[in-house]
Amino acid sequence: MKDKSPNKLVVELAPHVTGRMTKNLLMKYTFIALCIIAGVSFLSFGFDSIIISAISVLVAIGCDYLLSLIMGEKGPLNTMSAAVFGLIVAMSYSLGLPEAMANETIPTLAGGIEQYLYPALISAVGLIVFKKLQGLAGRKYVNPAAISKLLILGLLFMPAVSSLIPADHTASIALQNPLTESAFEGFPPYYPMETTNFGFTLLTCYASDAANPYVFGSSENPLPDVLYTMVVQKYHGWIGGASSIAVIAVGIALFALCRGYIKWRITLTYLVTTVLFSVAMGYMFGGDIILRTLFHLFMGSSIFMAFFMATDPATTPLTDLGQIIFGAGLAILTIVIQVFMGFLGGAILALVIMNLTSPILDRVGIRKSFGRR
Amino acid sequence: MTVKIKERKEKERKVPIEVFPDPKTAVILTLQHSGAKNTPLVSVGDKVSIGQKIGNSDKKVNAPIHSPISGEVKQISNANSLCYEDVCTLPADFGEAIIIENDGKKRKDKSLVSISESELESISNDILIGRIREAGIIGMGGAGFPTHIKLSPPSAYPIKFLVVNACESEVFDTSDERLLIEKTTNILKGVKVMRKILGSPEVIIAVKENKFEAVERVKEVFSGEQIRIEARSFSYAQGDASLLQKALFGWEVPAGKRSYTMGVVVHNVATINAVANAIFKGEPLISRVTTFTGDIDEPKNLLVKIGTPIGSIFDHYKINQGDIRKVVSGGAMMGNTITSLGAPVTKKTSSIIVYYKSNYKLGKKKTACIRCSKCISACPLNLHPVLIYEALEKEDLKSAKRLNSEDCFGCRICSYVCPSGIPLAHTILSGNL
Repeated sequence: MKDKSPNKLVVELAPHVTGRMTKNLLMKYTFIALCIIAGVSFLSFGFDSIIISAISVLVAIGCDYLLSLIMGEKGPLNTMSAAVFGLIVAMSYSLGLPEAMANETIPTLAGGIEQYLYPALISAVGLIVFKKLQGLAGRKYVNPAAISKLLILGLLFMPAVSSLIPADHTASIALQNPLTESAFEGFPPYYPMETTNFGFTLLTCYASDAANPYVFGSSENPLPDVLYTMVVQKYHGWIGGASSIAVIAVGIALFALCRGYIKWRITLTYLVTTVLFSVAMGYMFGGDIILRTLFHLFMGSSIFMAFFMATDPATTPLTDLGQIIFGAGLAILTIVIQVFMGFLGGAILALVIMNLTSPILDRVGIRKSFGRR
Repeated sequence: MTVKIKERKEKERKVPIEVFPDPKTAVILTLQHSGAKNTPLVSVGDKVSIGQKIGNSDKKVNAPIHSPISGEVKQISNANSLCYEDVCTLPADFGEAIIIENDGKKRKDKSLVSISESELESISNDILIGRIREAGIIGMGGAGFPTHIKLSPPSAYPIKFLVVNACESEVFDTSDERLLIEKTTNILKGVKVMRKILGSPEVIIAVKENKFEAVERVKEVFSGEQIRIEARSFSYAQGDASLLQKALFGWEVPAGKRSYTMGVVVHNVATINAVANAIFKGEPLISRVTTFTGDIDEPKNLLVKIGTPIGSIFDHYKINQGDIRKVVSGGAMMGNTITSLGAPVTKKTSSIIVYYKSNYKLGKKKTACIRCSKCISACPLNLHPVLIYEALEKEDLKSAKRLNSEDCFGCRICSYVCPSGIPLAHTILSGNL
């Protein structure tokens, strides 16, 4: 806002003092938090993750700048917001194939130039179509990063050009087809839930030696190793989820820094529901309950989404109860998609579906106001 | 979640009340309270004296106005065009302005009878309430509701509690705090008048515990008077009568109902001070304490005549008017900006806040709502500001009403916390008009 008439008294609306939090500051804090997570991912993925982060951020900022030139007043320059978006795209990009840590090589998915091209494409499409154009519609209905990745890597190209799909969505047969054991003879089935098979798949996701089938707490696979690979550092899936403990620590620090401005209820109910639902499924299908719970709780995609994507303010419900329903629904949907569709990065599909319920959930749980209870 | 709002009173609360000299001209607005407008009783050329009633109305919800100085009526004109031109803040109507030129003779009008403290018990309530009305006393905490009406609740509702509201949670404001420190005995007298009128209810004085000096003085003077002193860390929003009751008694006044239905009457300390002045000194409400603060070097608490043009305060303290960018009257959270320094101090001007050009930054830039839901968790009334705002933007008044938009009392917390700088409170309040 320019000061238009320097010699007249200014007319402004009350209040004449304001809180310290602005949209830009919120974005700045989030950006710094994401930068820390990107930095931690270096330990798992090396420079690949840093380069991918830089590319998506630069593409997002560039697209935002270009759009601001074209759209003028309708799409004002919002560099900080674009940067955050770009970094979320990078952090939610599936870089690592589920693989044993003992192999000591980190397989990159698409490999070559593609692993940089895809994030750039997701970033550009996401910003232009789903961030700016959705913004013009008055409100955002789906998380731009999630829908963009889903469309580009998942649905859009899947039937036509399957070679473009990163390996964790198609190549890993065991993950893709969990329910039909007989159709894939010779491959260890992901589900049904025999402890050994489930554990085996899990350990291929989380490291340890694939040749040694997992026995919980056995001498080959002591508990500390399992916990280390799940919580501290892992290779599967999203860059942002490389270290669950980093995501949780940075996430909680960010929530505390932006008290009341980030919808923490979603994250909390998501985590609680995940635990409860995993335990329930453990009783239904058998298998190691603790392992199953840890798997669903700390999988790279899930934990990152719970803290940084599910709390995106624009696409989530406004009321407390709406947020709680959203978090619970997201947890159940994520597990169902992962287990029954075998879509290991399925958290984004669950997120997009839940996002679409936000306008309805906004109307749920309208509190009775003061003096009307 | 209770929103903490920085009080910024460190300097202000230490400054004793200073009597500001009578202005050369006084500008008296005919509508300074909430209720019916006053009709001027004087015309141009009339001589008036200090305390003379110059505006009145036969409507029930009304408080008359008085001349703060002796002199001659020079002009009677529309107040909005005179000093509130282009004001887009609320309220939009200030009625007329009666402009009086001071003749310096200090003639006093004696029509308001005073009594001594010993006579209080022998005088009927009707007479006391009549005198409070004649003195033009209104709620000086900001609401501006005529006091005599609050003191005569329907007989079906016996009053059990008289709450003295000394929370003064508005940012910068310390006028009430200084009154508590310096006029403690006078306030006690006013409390006694009110207690008599309301049929001896229990008296509770609610004061923020961080007003250390005031709390100490109150304890010193009020102890032994069967007055309960509640010194607590009340939040900003708890300065409101309904929310204060919730804090003190735990109940919620039903929406749309007045406090007396719960057997409670809440009065501001400044109002009580004015009642004591009216009853025991025969002095109508022609002056008030206001905090003069903001970017100026030395903030002041001024006992200033109502009708004093704000510009004359700048003149008196030799503040360069060319350097002033914004002036807020009546509190940083709830007050309005004035467009002209000719705008006067009114009965509700609890503070005058000055912003210099050199320090001035325009407020948060308004951007699209990010739906963070902070306003919803912040609203002390449990309203849903963003949903009401969206409804009003679509001119969907029905939805706004369903969301109880008319319950909003304008604390502005939603606007305060909004990271997108959306004028939520202003939109909701405008929608309620």
